[in-house]
Amino acid sequence: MNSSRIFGLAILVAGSTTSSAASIAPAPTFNKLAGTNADHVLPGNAIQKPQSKLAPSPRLTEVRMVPGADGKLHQVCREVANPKRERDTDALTPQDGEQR
Amino acid sequence: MTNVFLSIATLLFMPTIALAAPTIALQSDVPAQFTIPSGQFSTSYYIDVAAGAAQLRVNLDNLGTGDTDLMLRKGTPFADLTFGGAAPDFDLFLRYAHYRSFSGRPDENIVVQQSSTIPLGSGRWYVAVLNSANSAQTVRLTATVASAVAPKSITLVFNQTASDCQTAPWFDATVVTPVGDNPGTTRGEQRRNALTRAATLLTEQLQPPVPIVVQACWSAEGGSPSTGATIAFAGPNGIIVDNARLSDGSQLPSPWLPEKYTWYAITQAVRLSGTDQCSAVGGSCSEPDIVATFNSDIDPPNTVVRQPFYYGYTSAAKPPNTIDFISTAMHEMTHGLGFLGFVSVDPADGPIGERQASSSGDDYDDIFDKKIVSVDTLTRAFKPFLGLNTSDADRAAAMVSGDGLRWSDAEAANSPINVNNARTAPDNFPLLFAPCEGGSNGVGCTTLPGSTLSHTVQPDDLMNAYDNGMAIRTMGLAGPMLDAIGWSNAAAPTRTYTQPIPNNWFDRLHNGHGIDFQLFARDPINGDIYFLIFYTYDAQGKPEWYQSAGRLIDGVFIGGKDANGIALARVIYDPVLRKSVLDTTVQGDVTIDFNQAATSPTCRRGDRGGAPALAVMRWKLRTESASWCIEPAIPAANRTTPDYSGHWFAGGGDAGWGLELFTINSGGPQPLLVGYMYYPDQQGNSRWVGFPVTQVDLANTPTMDLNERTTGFCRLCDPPPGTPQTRKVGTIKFNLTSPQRTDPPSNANRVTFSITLPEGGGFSRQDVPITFASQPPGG
Repeated sequence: MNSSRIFGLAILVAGSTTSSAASIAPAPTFNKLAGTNADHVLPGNAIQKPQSKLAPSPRLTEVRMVPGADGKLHQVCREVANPKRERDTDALTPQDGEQR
Repeated sequence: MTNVFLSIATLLFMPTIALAAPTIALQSDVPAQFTIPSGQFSTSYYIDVAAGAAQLRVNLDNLGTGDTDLMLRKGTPFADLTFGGAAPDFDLFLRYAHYRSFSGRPDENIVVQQSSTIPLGSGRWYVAVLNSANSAQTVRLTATVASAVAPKSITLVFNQTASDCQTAPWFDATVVTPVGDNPGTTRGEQRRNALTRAATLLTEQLQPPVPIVVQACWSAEGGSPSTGATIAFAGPNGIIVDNARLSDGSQLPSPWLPEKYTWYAITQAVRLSGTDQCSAVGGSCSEPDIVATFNSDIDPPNTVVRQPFYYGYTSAAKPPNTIDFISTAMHEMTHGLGFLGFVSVDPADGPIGERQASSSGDDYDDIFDKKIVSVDTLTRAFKPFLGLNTSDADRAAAMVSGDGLRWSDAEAANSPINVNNARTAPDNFPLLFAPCEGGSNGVGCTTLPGSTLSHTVQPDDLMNAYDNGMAIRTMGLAGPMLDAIGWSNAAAPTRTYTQPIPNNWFDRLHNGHGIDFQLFARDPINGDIYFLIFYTYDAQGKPEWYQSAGRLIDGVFIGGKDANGIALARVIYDPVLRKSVLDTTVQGDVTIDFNQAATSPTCRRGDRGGAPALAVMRWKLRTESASWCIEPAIPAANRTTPDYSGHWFAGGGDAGWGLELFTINSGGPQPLLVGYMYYPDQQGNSRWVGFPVTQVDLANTPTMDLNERTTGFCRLCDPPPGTPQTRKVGTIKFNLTSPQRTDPPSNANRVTFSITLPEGGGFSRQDVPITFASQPPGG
């Protein structure tokens, strides 16, 4: 088989995809998923799939009443560190470079 | 086709595997019911959406209790086999999906609108249904196309008690008098009414396509007239970036986040995902999107600052010395919706101006701060607050500059809400809070932790850092500002992806290793086919190479796994068969993401200046893995006409070795020729050599030296100091007259080479015809 035949086959497959998609079939077809891994499968599941918690927000905002120089209370909003952040160690971890 | 990794040559002869061929057109609002076996998927369904449609909603209703999942892809189908001919895993569906709903629940749903990141538009949407459960599940799949959009609400949860979330105050039975159109007759009812009113006002102005869930809490935070008090606090219940890898190493792409390598609040992510939080990112389905907490000591009986909350809807009835609950709640929930910069403003969090790091230590941009510019207060010149050339110190200076921190997005700048919209840039950009605390004129200043950066300055604006006591009921500048960071309901532009350049790619930080990355064939339906040779060094520093083939999906090369799960393969040469066979003992994987790489942490390491393009290559070999920032070595503009650049081989009858060639304009009558040769040594191990840039007559080149690098270094090491050392191991000579791809090769192009390794063995061919393995340039 030469490369032009390969390319021709690609076109043929693409063409058949289009034409078959235009027809209505009564029942769906099913295929097997790979990747079953007993260490990572959720209870009741047959397939490993990602599940994770979010990374906690680094900050929250807080509206405070703050005494001013005029002796009155003023309402101001400020950001504060998120107390949950330190506690949450099971975070979704972006790892752009696991090793460099 | 059972094994694509027999040799470089056989990469060419891969019968194109029939991919997903959806056969069943869903009709709008007509459910399809079927039973899907355990651990299987179906890609049979699609729905065609006509121009002008406002919304596509796809529901997967599981009539059982098992975990089924739903994914959507626009324009081109899912793969029902890997490129290596194996069954796809869940991760491959995640790589293909434009939208997903993959919670641990039985039911799933996805909403796509014209404003979605991959916008609705007209065309075909492909559906994948996956059954992750360990038993067959009967499901009902319904796709509904609507001509109008019904916004969802910001939903309040008043009864989700936790250690830091008291809910009893929402049901305080103290009898009170209705106030300011709030008809509640108990304090709890008034509180719930007022918070609901705040959420309704935000909903009316934002019109989110999916519900945003707010956990509503109280906490006794104390306070006094002399020290003040916390009134309320809130924030998004998490942040996410489209570069996430999970603890098991699998990747979790989020293509509905418009900007890669950028933090988004979970509320923005949910709005953009078209589904709810756990369906979009996994995890518990009881997690809220925002947590908002109010100080129960503000109200009687403690009334710690002698200014209780005012729960009225209208401002007319607001008594003096009260705190307007609705505007406070709107302000705080707006922060939770993503009106929040993540650059450090507090020395306790790290250097002022530092971008937000992930737990792996990599710093990322955040979408709020990406819309900000840093303005020179004297010259009025401005630059992106998070630009590649903006340092932490630059950001720190901007944040105490008074008027040097501005929101540059056009919608807010041009909005009639912006009192400065008639001025010229940058003075029409809404000013953000950047006070000079403790100094003057930018000298001796510190940031005001918390208020700096994430607030407006415009008087009477909801997001002004200082509450003026007014009962504000509109979002003000936050409306157009949030539009710019994920909340716009305007039609989004068609999503585009970066097309790679077939080339020799390398990472400046690992120069000496490289990737021969080549196009094999275009395939507009299933994704263009590329192959690569990863040339590198083994543990002893000897040259070795690995190979992969796969498709480009949305600007990402995905190495096709075979039945062994191998996508980046080591091969062993069989001299009798004259081809290579797969080494199944070496696991490998590779993806190359060509989208938005310049802002990735990987590419922000080291100077990438002058690179014509960048991509992030993730590879895994045995127990090693890394992300490299790669760039093309030879600019396309320097190629010759005709162009002989690409990967060459001797045809299927003499497989297992190949050549990466580049012909480069020299400015003279003869081009420059340079390249690498990939061949087997006496043991069948994959080795490579290079030949230097030489000005040649392509039709009859001189005999050139083949050199092997003797200062190879491991993939996870820094390059050794000094000039790379090589040794001559052979010679090579070409006769190239026609850049063509035929198999068997014609005599138009021929090569003679001889390699003799000092440790014994060698590899040679005498005047054998060769042909392009890659698609000829321009072909």
